[in-house]
Amino acid sequence: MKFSTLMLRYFLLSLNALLVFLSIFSNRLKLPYSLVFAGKLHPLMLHLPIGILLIVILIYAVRNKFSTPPGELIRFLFYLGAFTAVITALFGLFLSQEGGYDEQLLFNHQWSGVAISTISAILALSYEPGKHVKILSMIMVLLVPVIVAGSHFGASLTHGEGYLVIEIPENKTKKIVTDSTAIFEAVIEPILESKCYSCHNEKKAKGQLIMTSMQSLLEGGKHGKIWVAGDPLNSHILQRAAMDEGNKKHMPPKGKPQLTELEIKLLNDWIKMGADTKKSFAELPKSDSFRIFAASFIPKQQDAQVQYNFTSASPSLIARLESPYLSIQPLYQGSPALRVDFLIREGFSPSILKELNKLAVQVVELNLSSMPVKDEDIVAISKFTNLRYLNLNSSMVTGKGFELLKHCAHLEVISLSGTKVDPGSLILLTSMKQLKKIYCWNSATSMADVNDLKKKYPDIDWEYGYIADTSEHLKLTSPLLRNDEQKVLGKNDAIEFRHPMPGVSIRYTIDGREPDSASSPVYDKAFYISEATRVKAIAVRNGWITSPVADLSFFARGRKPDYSRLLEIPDKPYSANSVELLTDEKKGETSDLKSGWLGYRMGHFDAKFYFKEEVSLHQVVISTAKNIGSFVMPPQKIEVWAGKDSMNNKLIKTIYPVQPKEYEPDRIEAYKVVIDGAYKSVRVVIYPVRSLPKWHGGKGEKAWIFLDEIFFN
Amino acid sequence: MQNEFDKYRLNVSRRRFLAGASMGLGSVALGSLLVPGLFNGNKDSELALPVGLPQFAPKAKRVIYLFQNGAPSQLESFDYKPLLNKMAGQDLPASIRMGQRLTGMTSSQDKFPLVGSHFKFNQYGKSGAWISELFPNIGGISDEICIVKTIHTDAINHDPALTFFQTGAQQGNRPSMGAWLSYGLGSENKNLPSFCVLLSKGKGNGQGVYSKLWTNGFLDSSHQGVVFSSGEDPVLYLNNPEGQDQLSRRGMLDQLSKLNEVSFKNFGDPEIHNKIQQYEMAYRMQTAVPELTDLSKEPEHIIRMYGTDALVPGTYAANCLLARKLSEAGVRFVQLYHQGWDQHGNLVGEMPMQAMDVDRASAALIKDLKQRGLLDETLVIWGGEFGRTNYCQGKISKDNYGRDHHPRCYSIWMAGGGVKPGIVYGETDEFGYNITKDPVSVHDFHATMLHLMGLNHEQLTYKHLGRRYRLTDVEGKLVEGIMA
Repeated sequence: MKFSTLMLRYFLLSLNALLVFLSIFSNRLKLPYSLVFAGKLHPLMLHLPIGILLIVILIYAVRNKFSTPPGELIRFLFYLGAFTAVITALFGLFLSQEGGYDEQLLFNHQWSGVAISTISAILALSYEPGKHVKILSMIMVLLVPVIVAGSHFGASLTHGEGYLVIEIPENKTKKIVTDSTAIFEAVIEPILESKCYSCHNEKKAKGQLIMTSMQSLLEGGKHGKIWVAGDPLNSHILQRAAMDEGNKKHMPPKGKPQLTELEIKLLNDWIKMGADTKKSFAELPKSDSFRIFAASFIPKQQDAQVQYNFTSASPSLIARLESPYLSIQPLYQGSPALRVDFLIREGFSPSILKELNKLAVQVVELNLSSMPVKDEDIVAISKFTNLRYLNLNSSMVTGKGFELLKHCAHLEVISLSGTKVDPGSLILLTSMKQLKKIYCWNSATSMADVNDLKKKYPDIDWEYGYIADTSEHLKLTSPLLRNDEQKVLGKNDAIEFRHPMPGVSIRYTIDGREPDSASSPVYDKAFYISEATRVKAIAVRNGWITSPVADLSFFARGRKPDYSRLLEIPDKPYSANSVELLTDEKKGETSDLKSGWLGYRMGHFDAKFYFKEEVSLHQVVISTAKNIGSFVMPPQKIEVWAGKDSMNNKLIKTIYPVQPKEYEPDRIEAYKVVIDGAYKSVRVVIYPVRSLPKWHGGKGEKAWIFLDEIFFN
Repeated sequence: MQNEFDKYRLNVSRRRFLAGASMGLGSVALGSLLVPGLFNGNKDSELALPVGLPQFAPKAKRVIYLFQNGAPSQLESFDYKPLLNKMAGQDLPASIRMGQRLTGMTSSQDKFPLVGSHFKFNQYGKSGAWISELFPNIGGISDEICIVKTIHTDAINHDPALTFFQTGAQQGNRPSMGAWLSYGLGSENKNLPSFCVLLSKGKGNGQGVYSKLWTNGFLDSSHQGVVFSSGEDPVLYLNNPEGQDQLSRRGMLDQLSKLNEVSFKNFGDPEIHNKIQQYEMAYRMQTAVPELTDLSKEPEHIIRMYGTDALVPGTYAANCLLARKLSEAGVRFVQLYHQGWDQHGNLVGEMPMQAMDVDRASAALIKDLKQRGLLDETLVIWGGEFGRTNYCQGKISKDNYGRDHHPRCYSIWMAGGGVKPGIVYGETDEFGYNITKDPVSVHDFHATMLHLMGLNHEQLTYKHLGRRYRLTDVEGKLVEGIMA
């Protein structure tokens, strides 16, 4: 024998050996990704061995009818058949690794395939042209049914068991369930379909019961009617379902998909209610418990997945029309339907709308809110024949030309809030039968008009929106400062108030009294302060409740010391950036004591400030925080020492700040200590309260002092 | 080495190109041209890669998230438990507590006295939902909202709980909800960021918020939340500096873009493209933002609807109004944070103030969206990071009490975009401590939210450090009961 032939034979043998081996251990197989792809070629490859083997057996059967014995051809074909068979089987093995195939069917199919492969290999290796061996003929004959069986199992894997007999229903459209659908049709029938029809149909009527047509369903079968209206206990169908699973009479039979508990309950309740096959959901009150229960069985309405049956637009056209002012997007991946949003008012022009008409078929949603769209542009809009949603909020349409919109035969929702549409134009829209919702808030249509329209055209959902109650008295917000940040003012810095609401007047005081809407001075222009001042302001407007008081402390910029020294270290963690912050003119926030403040509790504050040249000072202003809830109280005592040189400081003034008698809101307090005189150095000592008063939650405990700035005016 | 660089660049660029396909690069609207089959109605097999579009027809196109930071008490808002009033003062039974871990603040307590709501509850709307008297306006819109009483989380303290809620994991290295949506869907309006964050503070005991909660994590930094400042200028430095006009700015940006491209060719750093995109975005925002943030032109009926606070920038009401405008203009995800709900003590004093801050404005937002025809396509969510305990923290008195953190059940509400209106979903036990029916985990919530936006939460992934991450991590089931 030629070497190449020998190799060929051994190769065929080894492939089959590999096939058998892999098939036995198929569940331990882990395939590399590339071979999974090869598996996908199995449905392609399988045609070859089936065709070739059947043909070669046929040729063998009629070999004597040929003038030239086709022995060599037969051998060639056997080899070809055997090789394609083993490769097909191997590919099938790879494909099976994908999973998701019925175990039993797969087993049958797999081993049929292995059988086909090995048998055809045996035939290929044993056949000799011209020789007629009886056994080989018998094997050939045996091979045919194996091929048929194997193919059938394979087809069952793909098309489902019993595919040869079960009729595939013509129209597999999902039922649209509405309130007027019969309950039987919506929820009972699907259960029967999935669990019962396979054995109780025209072709296969177990127990002489056919359930697929209404008449035969009601007629019943061998044991008569399957339910008794109003009496679930005596209903045959439920009796069978309630039987023990081991009982032969139990339905559905063991091994088939069983009815779930909820399904049984549904059938039970439905039969109890009278087993009326025509009663619809609408005939039951909305709060009826059976209706609610039955509704939960309705298959998820895929109404959002409306099928659009137009072709999609060309991407290049869309790309040309798109711009930063206009967004064109499909509704979702792969959908031919488009949504168009106009984005910037300045970028809008009627010609763009006309350009968009090139996409007239595909645009399903159009958003023109806030765009200067006029009545003339409705012509262009009406060309979008598949439009379902149109948003014209705050545009300039008035309703003339609305009858053109009837060309948009699918329009379901139109939003006209903030436009000048009047009832007359809205009535024009009512002739569009598929229109479901109209939004007309803040338009030229009054509430009375809308109520009227609601009565006349109840099929449309008229959304009027919410009307503000103008008689309601709302509280104004406090006045705001124009320059919020600056609390330390120089001679040329003014205090400017503003209020975001028009028509509001601001009244204020600078003497510490509460401002009132009648007698306090009216704020009309910015004003200046010369020293630390507490300003209180309120906002007032007729018909509105006066605002809360805005309580603000301002400080006048003073002389900045040339050098400062802290004699007592603040308590951690309130040491901030040390003494510089006292003169940096940056105010801290009472809500954030951790930054910008020096805090003392265990000790007291003591610092010295030096001026290179003698300065004439009137007073020292100390800015402190007050947060009674957090134990931050006014200082117990403030001492100011000063002198004409840094060594000799005399105690000039001591003050004892007023202590609160109850909880007060947090704020910044300024303490002025008058020290009139000319000095080169000033020393400030501040003592915190040593024992919180009786009324305080932490009575007896030490209090804090916090200071952020010291001004020398 | 150069080979490695090239491979990296090709890898990252391709995916990001596809992801950023719907956002333009400068003046080139690349969009659909580069994504094969985007418009031709065929379902491509590579759907796991986000292409800036929902995977199936979405119910909601935008989200406004009103996040109540600090954890508002569900027992004083949406979960009515009269049993607690009857049993006030009695210790929490161990059979109810079932070993729930305590925070460090209450673990030293030897008693856990139950305390009922100081505030009355009323029934509202067709669903008869029980809502506390602190939220009358929200009660007024109860027919539009779906109250979910059975959200539960694993974390017990603010930082991990906030991080878990916003990013899907308690460790803080992952992208936030808004970033995922921005990654998956992009922005409707290319002139505005796809994810905006607005902050406000109430007077109650507050916990801070930080940028980890709106971070882009390992996604491109273009998906980070843009925080609008609460001052007069919501976006700082947006306007041109003195002496520069729009035309010269455009010229400058074009040249800058060219220089950055050269840089990109040399280094292959994908962040360079992000930077170009951000400059372009800022340029376009100059036109888009000022008209949005100008509150001075609001008509009086809008002010009445939201409350007078709406004119004061930095308040919750003003943020709600701004949120409506941003959402109307096409911002995909607007998130508000209102701080101050952490009532460990003085609940009776603080909670009404907090409620007053948000009640009117939240209801107004829903009404405003509805009357403009936007509610059907906008998903609005209101809620915090966990609930509060049914027992008192600290001293219990007749008139005041505090509540500690409670992760096992709490209430949020949702409205709009695909959510079933006018229902109350889920049930908790009479003690308001455990869930008895229909629990919704944070992952389930995320999965449902993504589903309503048209995304399959299992397919919106990003490969990072060798694994495909997603917002719902490895969990998350759709909550069918709240979807319309």
